[in-house]
Amino acid sequence: MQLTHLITQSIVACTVATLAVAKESFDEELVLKSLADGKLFTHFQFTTRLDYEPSGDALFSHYGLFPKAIGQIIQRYGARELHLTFTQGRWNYEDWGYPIAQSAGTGVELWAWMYRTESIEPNWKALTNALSGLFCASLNFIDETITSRPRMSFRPEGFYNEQADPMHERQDDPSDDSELRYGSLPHESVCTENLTPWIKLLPCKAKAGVSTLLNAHKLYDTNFHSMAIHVRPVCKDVDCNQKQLELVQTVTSVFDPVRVTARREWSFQSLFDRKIERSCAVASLSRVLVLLPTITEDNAWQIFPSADDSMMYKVGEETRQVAVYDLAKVHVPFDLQMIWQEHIFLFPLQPSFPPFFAHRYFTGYGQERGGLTVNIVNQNPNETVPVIYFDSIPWYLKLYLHTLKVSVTWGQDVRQDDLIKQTYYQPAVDRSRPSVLEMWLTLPPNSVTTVSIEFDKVFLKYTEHRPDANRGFDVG
Amino acid sequence: MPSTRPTPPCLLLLLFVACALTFLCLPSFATPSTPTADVVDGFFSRGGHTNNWAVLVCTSRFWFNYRHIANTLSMYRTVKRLGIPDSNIILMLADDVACNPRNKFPATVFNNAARLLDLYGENVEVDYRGYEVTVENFIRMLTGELRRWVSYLVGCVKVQRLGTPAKLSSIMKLHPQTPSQPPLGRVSPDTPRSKRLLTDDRSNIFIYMTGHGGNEFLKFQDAEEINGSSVEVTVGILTALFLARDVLNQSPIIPPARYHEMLFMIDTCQANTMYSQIYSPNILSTGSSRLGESSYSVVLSRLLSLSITFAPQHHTDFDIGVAVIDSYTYYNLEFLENIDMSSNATLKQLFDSYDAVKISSQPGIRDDLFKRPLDK
Repeated sequence: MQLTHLITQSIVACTVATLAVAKESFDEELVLKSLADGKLFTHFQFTTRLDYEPSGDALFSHYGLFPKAIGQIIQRYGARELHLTFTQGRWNYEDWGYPIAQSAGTGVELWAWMYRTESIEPNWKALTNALSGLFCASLNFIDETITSRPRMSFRPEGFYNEQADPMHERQDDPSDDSELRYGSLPHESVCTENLTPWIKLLPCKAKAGVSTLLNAHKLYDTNFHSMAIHVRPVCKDVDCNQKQLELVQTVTSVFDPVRVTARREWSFQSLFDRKIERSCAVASLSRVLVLLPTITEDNAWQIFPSADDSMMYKVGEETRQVAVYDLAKVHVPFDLQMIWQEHIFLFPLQPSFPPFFAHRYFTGYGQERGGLTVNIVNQNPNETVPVIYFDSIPWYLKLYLHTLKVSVTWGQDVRQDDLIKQTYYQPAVDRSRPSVLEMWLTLPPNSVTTVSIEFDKVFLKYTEHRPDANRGFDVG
Repeated sequence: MPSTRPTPPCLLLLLFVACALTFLCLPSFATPSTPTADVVDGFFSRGGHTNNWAVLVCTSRFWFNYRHIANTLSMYRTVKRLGIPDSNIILMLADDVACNPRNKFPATVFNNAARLLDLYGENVEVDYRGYEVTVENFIRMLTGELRRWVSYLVGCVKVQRLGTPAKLSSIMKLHPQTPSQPPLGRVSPDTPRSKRLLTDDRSNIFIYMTGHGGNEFLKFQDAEEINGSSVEVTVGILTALFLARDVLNQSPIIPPARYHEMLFMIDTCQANTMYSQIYSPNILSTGSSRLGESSYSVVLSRLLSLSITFAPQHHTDFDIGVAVIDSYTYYNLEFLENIDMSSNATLKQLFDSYDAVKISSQPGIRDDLFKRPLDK
């Protein structure tokens, strides 16, 4: 009796194990990089993949590692691809270069490709409400007065046949069956109540692996933090016969150890107030990567414990060495530290401008009118850079298209018609939809291009002002 | 007025027949009372409810109203600690102070100048936050899942917005309703489950409100007010009562449909006036101060000794820079922190612990609508 019982149990366990292994996978990574002005860039990335197994009307029937909350929301509201970011702070391109993952503006940004059905608008509204309940944020404020449909910006990232010949057309053009919807809430605050449900989507939650380092008290004490989820369908093989749904959760933050100790040294204990006690058992890949500083002077910096593995990472002409720690193999509790042999950190006198960045600001004063100006800098000495500028202005700022001016304010002069290749403009409708301005610009090398447009401020009913009307309105 | 109740003689007859059947047909079993059975019986409520809900509302915005957020979060922590899960708590915070740039201690909220306890913690779920905390959302959330037998409601209540009265009727979509029609859903159908109050007739609800208030009104976010009669109408809808202008004195006969018992606690200036208009059954109300009195925040000097003065903005944390708790809530917590889930403490013990001298105002208790004795 006992033996047959044991055999049955083991058969069941083996079947379940093989089924589980075939259908889902989970990877986690933490990247640390010292920035030029003494700050530390950290990037957590958690990737969960789930095979499509259509059954009935549903795309998947079993959820193991993949969070059911996300899977059900995606299926129920017909979202092909979903991107949601919660950001506080401004990414300082001039000093920090480019982030690893796509950066986002302050507040909440939500963009999704929704399947084109008759109920696409109700689905979008229901999607924002469902996400607001899931993440404890006021995403339900993303209604038709804020939602826009960019035509040129945002490329869909899913179902792209990566191995296919890039010269051929994409085999699966998402714009055939789905439409992009974009909405942002610049004034949305980000706090522990948003992080908690985000962590609960991870298979190991906050109990094991890299995610144990996510300490809200330290994360929200940083110069910049951005928490995101990106859901997209991907192909498992070259011919895209087998499809998967990929969920990428990222937390990007910029710590400032110099603020506390006046030196650049850091450790997990000083940054996150925690150490990694155990690795996540269901992760197929769980590692910490440190992009080592390029300073070659002896003993300028040291890293403990020393890496068991390293690799080279090439960006442009620069090659950086990366220390790799596999969490399944390190000694726990794992506390990584970097020591700098300096008495006090001296801020670099030269800012390290990246090749391309922009600066957007409002001009004018008073309650009647104003202007919007964007300076786009192209520091490439030889290259002409094509960019698409996208802006969604709320309806209470009436843009005047005839005042739109695009010119090169520093560098070789180019006519406006040569700068703008294509424009898409959607005028606002009061209390109904925002203005959308999209322009495809080609920036000459070594130049500063300025885009400016003027607007009038609509005279609002007093009930349309926010409860804290003294603050005014946040516009992007 | 349309009546959905059977006539009294019919009811009496039915009752008699039912009782007769019970006594004649069913044999009586005498359960032996053992010590174990007594312990098991003790787990079930003496009051008759099967689930608990909490609605915690902070109506104040801005950094200097830190103490109102701390009040609400203190109550949130208490109800969670005593066993109500997040799915049964609706937490409404009008502003974010934990991650406010002015907060020297990010992602923390303290209710004590000595900073002994972080109320925010790791696991907080805020259902309505920021601009979502409005009178309309509060009323819609409370009256959301309406049952079929609500027949008629006369809009005699105003939602005040800086002098412009807007009839509650325009929000409520009033019309006579017969039992055959589908339920009046007052929340948007897209509202997620975590933002809905899904109580039934065996739910005990704890409603806690804090903010700035006055004689029969409570201010929401510097922009609008809710008055005492709105609270009663909202609660009245939960009772599925028939309300009309000319039957205000009629005693309710239909038992509440959306709650079993309710504890309404309010901590504002002149708080006791807010529950003066309530006449729905089974509601126990308590407030922090009488008509004409203000509620104060607790004084705690740097040496951690208690002293009372009558100026507001005390119990100040000098690093945070503002008052961190109000005295009525503080003394409620002093009692509640000493009990846990296994405690048999009664409401009478809680109310007896109120000391008007310490609280700096006269707390009020209204128990005429509450059937159960307070010491049970």
